[in-house]
Formats: sequence, C-alpha cells, structure tokens
Amino acid sequence: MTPAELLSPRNARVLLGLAVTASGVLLLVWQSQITFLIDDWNLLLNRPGFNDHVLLDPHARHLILGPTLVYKAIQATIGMESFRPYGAAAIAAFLASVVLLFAYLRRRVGDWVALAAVLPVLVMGSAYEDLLSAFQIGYFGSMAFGIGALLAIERGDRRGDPIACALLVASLAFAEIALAVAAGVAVAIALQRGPLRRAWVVAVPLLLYAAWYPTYGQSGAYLGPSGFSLHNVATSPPYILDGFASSIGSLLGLGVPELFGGVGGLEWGRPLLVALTAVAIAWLLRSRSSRSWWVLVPLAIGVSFWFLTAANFSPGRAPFASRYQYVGAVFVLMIAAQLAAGWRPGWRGSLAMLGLGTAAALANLSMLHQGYRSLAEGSETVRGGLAGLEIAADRVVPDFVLTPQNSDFNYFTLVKAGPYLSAEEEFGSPAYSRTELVSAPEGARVAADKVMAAALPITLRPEPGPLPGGCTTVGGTGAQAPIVTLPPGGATLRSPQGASVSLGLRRYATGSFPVDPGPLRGDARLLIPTDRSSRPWQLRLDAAAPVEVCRE
Amino acid sequence: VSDTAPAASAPATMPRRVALGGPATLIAAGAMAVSGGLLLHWLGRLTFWRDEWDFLLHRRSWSVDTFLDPFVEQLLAIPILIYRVLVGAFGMDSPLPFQIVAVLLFLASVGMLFVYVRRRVGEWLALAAILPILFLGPSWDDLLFPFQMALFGSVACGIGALLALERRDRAGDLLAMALLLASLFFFDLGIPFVAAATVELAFDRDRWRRAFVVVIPTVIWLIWFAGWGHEADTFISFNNFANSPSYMLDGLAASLATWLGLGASVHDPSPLDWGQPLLVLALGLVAWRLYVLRRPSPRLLGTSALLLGFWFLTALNTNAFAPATAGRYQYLGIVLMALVAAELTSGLRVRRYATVAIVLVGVVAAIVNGERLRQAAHGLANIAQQQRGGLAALELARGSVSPAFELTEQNSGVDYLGILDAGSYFSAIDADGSPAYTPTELASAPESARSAADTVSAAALGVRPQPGSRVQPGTCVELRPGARPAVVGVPPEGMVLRAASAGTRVRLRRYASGSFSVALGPLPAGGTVLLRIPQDGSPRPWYAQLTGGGRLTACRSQAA
Repeated sequence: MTPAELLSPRNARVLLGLAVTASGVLLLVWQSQITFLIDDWNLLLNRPGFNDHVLLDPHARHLILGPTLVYKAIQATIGMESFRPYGAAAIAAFLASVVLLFAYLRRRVGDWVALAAVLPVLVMGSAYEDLLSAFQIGYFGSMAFGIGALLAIERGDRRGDPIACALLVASLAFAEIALAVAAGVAVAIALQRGPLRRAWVVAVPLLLYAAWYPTYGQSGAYLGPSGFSLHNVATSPPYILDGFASSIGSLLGLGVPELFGGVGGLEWGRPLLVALTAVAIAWLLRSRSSRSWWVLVPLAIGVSFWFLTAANFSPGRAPFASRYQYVGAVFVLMIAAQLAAGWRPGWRGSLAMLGLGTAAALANLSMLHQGYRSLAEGSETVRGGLAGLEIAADRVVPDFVLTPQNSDFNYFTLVKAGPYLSAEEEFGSPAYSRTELVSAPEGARVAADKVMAAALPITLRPEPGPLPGGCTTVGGTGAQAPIVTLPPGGATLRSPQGASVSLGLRRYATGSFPVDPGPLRGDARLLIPTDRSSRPWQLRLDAAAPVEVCRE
Repeated sequence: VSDTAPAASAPATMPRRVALGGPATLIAAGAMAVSGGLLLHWLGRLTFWRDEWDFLLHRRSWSVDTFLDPFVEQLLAIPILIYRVLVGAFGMDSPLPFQIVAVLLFLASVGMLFVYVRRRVGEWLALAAILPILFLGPSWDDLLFPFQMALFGSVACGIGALLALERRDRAGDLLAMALLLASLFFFDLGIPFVAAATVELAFDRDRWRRAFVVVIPTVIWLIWFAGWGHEADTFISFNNFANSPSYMLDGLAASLATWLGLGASVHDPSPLDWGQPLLVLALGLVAWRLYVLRRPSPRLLGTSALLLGFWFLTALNTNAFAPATAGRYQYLGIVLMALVAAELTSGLRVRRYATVAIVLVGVVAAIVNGERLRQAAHGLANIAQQQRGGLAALELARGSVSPAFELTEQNSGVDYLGILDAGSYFSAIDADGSPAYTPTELASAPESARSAADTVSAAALGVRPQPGSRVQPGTCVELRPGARPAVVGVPPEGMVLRAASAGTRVRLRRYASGSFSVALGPLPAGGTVLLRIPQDGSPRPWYAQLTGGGRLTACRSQAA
C-alpha cells in the first residue's frame, strides 16, 4: 500500500472515530473522580421546580436555558448521587462539537489536515476547566449548534436557512457564543445573494435574545455583577488580540493555564499570531480569488466573541482564562481553515500536519492530566465538606453558607444548607457516606471537620463557677501536647489564671486538628452539639500550665 | 501594495489640492482640534507638577545661567525662556497659559509629522500615522505635562528643519539651520536631528556649500557644552554603552506596540509583549524593502540615524528610572519611527482597501490610547488636588515654617523630586501669585486635598507630642479608646494626655473630614504628653482621634 493510499479520506475518518472514542473514554474515566464543583450547584440546588424563572433566569448574567434543561432532566430521572451522567452529557456535547468542527474544516482543507487540527482540541488541557466540567455543556452545546448553523447557511438554499435559524436559536439557548456565530452567519449571508431577504435567519435569534435580556436577563438571585463598561470597550483591541494569541498558544500545547502559574498561551501565542497574520495577509494579497472574502465569516465570529468577552472584562476574565481556550481554539482553526481553503497537501504534507497535531495533542494531554488532578483534589474536599454538612443536618440552620473559610473550598456562595439538604433528600447525595469519609483522603476529612464545626456550631464560651465531676488534669506543649477524646456534648475546661491555652479539634481528620475553637482563658465550656455521627471529637490542648478537663 | 517608479513627493510638483489638503487632511485637522480640546480640558484640572517647579522657583532671574545651566544634563533654554515670559506676563496663579503653549507645541509637532508623512505616502496613511499619537495615553507624562513642551518644540523644529532641507535653496538651508538650532535649544533631541541632517548632507553634491546648516548648530552646541553642559551629572557608563543594543531594541519594540495601541492591557502592563514580535516582523519588512530599494536614499539614512541616535543616546544615559519602555519615551520613539517608516514606504502605491484597513487600525489604536490618556488624566487630577491642598497648608504655616522645609512624598503625599522648599516657594508666590487653594477654597476642596493639607500642616508646624504635664484643673475627661475610638478637639493652649497602658494611638485632622491623615504614633504607657499645635494662618481647630489601649485621661493644658 502506498503512502497516498494509506492517507485516504476514509482512513482519516476512521482515525477520527478512534480519537473521538479515546477522548470520550479518557474524559469519562477522569470525570469519575470529579464531583459537582461550583456552577453546577446553582442548577442543582437553586432552581427548584419548573417555571419560566427557573429556566430563563440568568446565571452570572448568562442565558443557560439548555444546560438547565439537561440538568433538570438528569436530576429528575437519575438523581444527583453521581456526577457521571451530567459529565457524560457534557462529553457527548463536546465530542459532537469536535466532530462538527471536523466537518467544517474538512470541507476546506481535506480530511487529514482537519483530523490533525482537531486532535489537540480533543484533549485540550489548557481548556481543562471546560473539558472536565459538566456545566460547560453550555459552551459545547452552543458551539455544536453554532457550527451546525454555519454548515447549514453555507448551503445557500431555502432548506438551509430555516435549519440555520433553528440551530442558532438552539445555540443561543446554551450560551451566548451564539451571538458571535450569528455575526458570522450575517457576514456569510452578506457574501451570498439576497442578504436583506435572508436577514431573518440572524434576526430571529437576536430578537429572541433582545426580548430575554430586559425581561429575565437582569434579574434573578444569581445575577452577579456586570463587567460591562465603556472603558472595557475602548481597550478591547489588545484584549481581542491577546485572546487570539492565547488560543493559538493553547491549541499548540504551548500554554500553561493560570492555575499552574502560566498565562495561557500568551508567551508563544503573541509572536505566533504576528507571524501567522503576516503570512495570512501576504497570502490574501497574492490571492485573486473572491473566495478570500469568506475568511471574514470566521473572523467576524472570533472577533465578536473576544470583543463581547473584552467588553465584560472583570478580574478572573482574562483572555487566557482556561474556560475561553476551547472556544478560542475552535475559532482560530475555522479562520485558518478558511484562509487555507482549497489547500490539499501531499502525503508528506499531510503527515507533517498530522505530526504537528499529534505533538500538540500530547502536550495538551499532559496539561489535561494536571487539570484532572487539580479538580479531583478539589472534588475530595467538596465531598468531604458535604459529608460534614449532612452529619450536621439536624443542627445546621438553613441559611448556613459554605465558604472557603468554613469548608476549604470556594463555592461562590452557591451552596446553602437548606437547599442542599432538601435536594440531597430528594435526589440523593454526592457526598462521601460516613463509612467512606473515614477512609477518604485527609483533605476531605479536614473539610468535613471544619464544616461540621461551623454548621453545628462548636462553641467555646466562658463559664465561671464550680467544675462538674469527671475532671482530669493534663498539660504539655508542642509534641507533648495532650490529646483528649471528648464525650458527646463537649466538656468543661479550666486553665490557671492568666494562662492562655491553644485548642485544636478534630473528628475525622488524623493528620491535624483543623478546627480552632479559640484560645482558652480561665473556665470555659466547649459545647459540641450532638449530630448524626457517633464518632467522638478529639481535643488537643497546647498548654504550658496544667488544664483541667471535665467530661461530665 | 506595489512599487511605483518615482517618489511622489517633490513639493514643487505637488497638485494644489494635495498641498492644501484633501478630506484626510481635514479629518486630521479635526482630530488635532479634538486632541487639543481634550488635552486642555484634562489639563484644566491639573496644576504645576514636578520639574515645572524647578523652572518656577529656581530659574527666576534673567541671567544667562538661568537659561544655559543644564537641567539634569539637558539644554532647555527655550522652554525656560517660555516659562519666564509666561510667568512675567500671567504670573503663576494659573497653569493655563503654560498648558496652552504646551498643547500648541504638541499639535505643531504632530502637524509637522503629518505634513512630512503626507508628502511621502499620501494624506490617508499620514492620518493613520498621527491618530494614535494625538491621543497617546501611554505617554501621558508627556501630553499632560506642560514641562514636556521641550520635547514637542524640539520635534516640531527638527521635522521643520528636515522639510526645509527639501527645498534645496539658500532660504531653505538657512531656515533649516535656524530650526536645528531651535531644536537643540528646546531639548537634546536636537542632537540626533543634527546628526540626521549631517548624514543627509554628506551624500549631497553640494555638501561643502551646505555644511553650514549643521556646522553652525554643532559649534554653538559645543560652546554651550564647554561653558555649561560639561558640569552636568550624567548616567553615562560603559555598562550602559554595552547594553545599548538591547535597550535600543526594547525601545523600538515598545514604540511600535504603543503606536498600534498595544502598549499595555488590563492584565499585562508591558509594551514589550506585543512589541517584540511586532518588531521582528517590522525588521523583516524593512529588510525586504531595503532589498527592493537596492540603494537607500540619503533621507532614509538620515532618519534612520535620527531614530537610532535617539535610542542610543537614551540608552547611554539610562538609569533605573529610565527604562526603554517608559511612557515618556514613546511619543518621541513613535514620531521618529514614523519618519523612518514614511521614508521606507515612500513611493509605494497602497490599494484602497489596504488603506482603509490601515486607517481603521489607526482609529482603533487612537481609541485605545485615548482611553489610557483619560485614565491618566483622572489620576493626575487627584495628585493636583493633593498638591493644591498641600501648598495651601504650606502658605497657612508661613509664619512658623522654616524656609528650608521641603515638601516630600512622606509629608505631602506628592513626590516633588526635592525641588520645592518653603523659602523658594514663598518668594515665588510673592512675586508671581499662588496656584494653591485659598483657605476658603480649601475648606470645600475634595477630601484628598484637605487630607494632604493636614499632613503638610502637621509637618510644617512640627506637630508632635512633647513632654508636659501642667493641666488646667477641672478640665480632665476620662476616655476608653480601646473600646471605642474617641475624637476630641485640641484646644489652642494644647492638650495633656495620660495613657494608663500601652497601645493608644493618636491621629489628627483639621480640614479633612473623612480621615485623620496625621499619625502621631503610640502614647507611652503610664506617661504624660503634651499635644500643642502651633498657631498658623488658619483659625480652624484641630481634632485628635484616640484609638486602642486602655484608660486614658485628656486634660486642657495650662497656657504656655
């Protein structure tokens, strides 16, 4: 078999199928170690019932009708004990978007170059916040429907237009990426015949969005602050260029996400963008084809996306943020493919492209693994903290909010005890069971202890007067600090006049005493309300002077 | 883009419409008017700042030395003359006349650049070149600082000299010589302009007849250097010389990025991030263009000498506060880069859509730069308020303050670079008027100004706790500032404070209402201190805020 026969279009599609399957399996395996983290909780806990506000209220000013429907359906049928069904839905949407991207690219540059282009996207580690999160089904759905709309509008016939319009509306229901795609569709229509007569294809979704924005888009419990400002608009050009640059660097596996100390793909992305832009301009200047203008379609999409993001910039929304890299990379590939439309490299060129795509995919895979480990560690903390909350369920007030201080994890105030316990009762618990918690990693057990202490709550209050019975005297500092197992309800403590004693509590944790009830001065009652766990608390006293501990 | 055979720029053959101006020229004029209006609007909220105080306070005589003594290491004779004339005519109550002159010189420099570039590449590309410069936010410390009229004047005269040389007649040469001299007497940028003219004339057939154009300015400058300039302190060192190539490249990269509106972003303040890759691309394009041209024109060599000479001289004299990325260098770097770019592209025919795209880039860059300029103006307005408040307090303390007292960042919140001392300031305002708030204005000035006034008053009056324990009987009150901060008025005769335990801190205010900006530190445990504030020109009472610690007794002191 000759190299040319090996590199047949059919083989490229077979390889794509294998790559898509491998990516899906890998993501499923890694997601099995992950649980609901941040935004998921808004959909799971804070949108009970089924009415217009539940479906249409914004999440951080974004329309998330599609993700809400998906979450509602899974929660109602399978429950919320496991993250996997939600993750699987997101992975399916992600893979669909990549396959559609392949379809878009292969029309322009053939199957093998298209395959090389999508390989790094399938394992895009710099976008780990997207690929390993179920909530990002919004991006994936919006992108899949958006690319579908672009493919439909390219038909340029009567059947294509309504399909494109419907797909744009569906894309919009998942995320505002659709607004950027609509800009591209508008340009595509303008480049085809009868732009005004076909304007409705774009007008319908835009009008729907315009109707949503004033009626639902500016209300709701989880609206969040608006980052929009004229200052952001005026300074958007550098942001837009940084967005493209970061996407290029990330796509090629040259970007280290912010979480791991990098700035996305900016360092390499900037010089690469300058060089590629120069090449593209030279290419366009040489080209006499009217098809060159079609590059304006993906260009309009990319520029619109980054402009909208720039206009709403606020801390945490830098152009190199991990969650933007998937979207940016897809748009960069679409622009590049349009510029190179009609190019069909020989087998050597195809192999070179495939080598480049594989190298970029490997670099991204390594970063995806890092992202997975980071999210898996966070998931342990979340599952431990929620287990602690469930143990304290009979005592905790409904308005109790999980914060970084009381749970070691930032839920962005989306998890309150009342809604969580109610949902847990109805749909099952994603937390560790009490048995699992005992053998969970130390971080999870620390989080559980901290949440319990805050939720019950454990208090140390001055209580002068005669001591009850059952007292023992302990003392010691540092490594010799005594550890006392406490009875249910707590204990009364007495330290000598003027002495200050440091206290530490733990229950499930073994490596540390993560709960600090405050310093002991004089006589005090350490009150520990009883809860659903029979496991005793342990008290560590760092005391230079002897302290009396009374268990009755 | 394609090449055309002849350069399209001989003034004598220019169509009349182009000479007078087409639509782009009108737009450029409009943009310059908008720029000037905005700059004057923003400058209207500012007052004299930093180096300007040197001109206003320490160069007040009409002796030769006043004008020729180097400022740091620079010859700034004409700017000093302008300040002298304006102070004589309008006083220094208001910085407006100085601001107007600076803005006019800035617009003149950009206007000259427009004319220069237009002759080579046409009015639309010239418009694209100047738009980002007209609103050059990263160079806010040029555009919003009238002292930098030195730069503007030097650039305007320098470009004027290059244009005059193009006439190739006696009058043109005489004008060029005069303008080179003016450029030298505005600012040291005149040196690379003279170098540029020298390079150009060296390739001229009439080089010896026309040599006076550069010889006379050079000789005059050398006379100045021998008489005055050699006494200046400089940062010139072998280390700077050795590092000059990388400094020059950084300077070129920063200018290029800033010109395109990519000087900084919200998350990344360095112009090099975009500048370095853009410079690599630009150098590639330059190499390609030189290859096409085969033989560079004398003017291209001259303007290249000008650009590289400027960055080399800056590199040679750099220090920790003068990196190549400093905003104040970008205006100069961009203008000089535009001159070279115009020479390189002279004769190129640019397609219409490419021209549209380039103008669009210019407009977008102008918007980005303009927003940065607006932000900078806002920050400077706050500094100006602090300055006017601090100076008002200094004037109120005039009867008590030592003439040697200096305003510093620590005692006024503003860095005066060690230039402003009380004696020189009082002498200047007696002669020329005061830019400070009046006491009435100060009372209703913004909080930052009033807070700065309190800080300066305390420093100028030497407010601090002193030993003393004689109290007026029956005037003592007992406070517990540890539980809740206490605010008490400080009587003119003073207040005796006795803290039972450590940890009580005292802060003061007079004009401020939202904060106690004068920190006097902790009171000694068990000791007694007297807090007496010398009387100054304001009858307004002082208030003390007491925080922390345990029991505290505050009593009215017996009169001194």
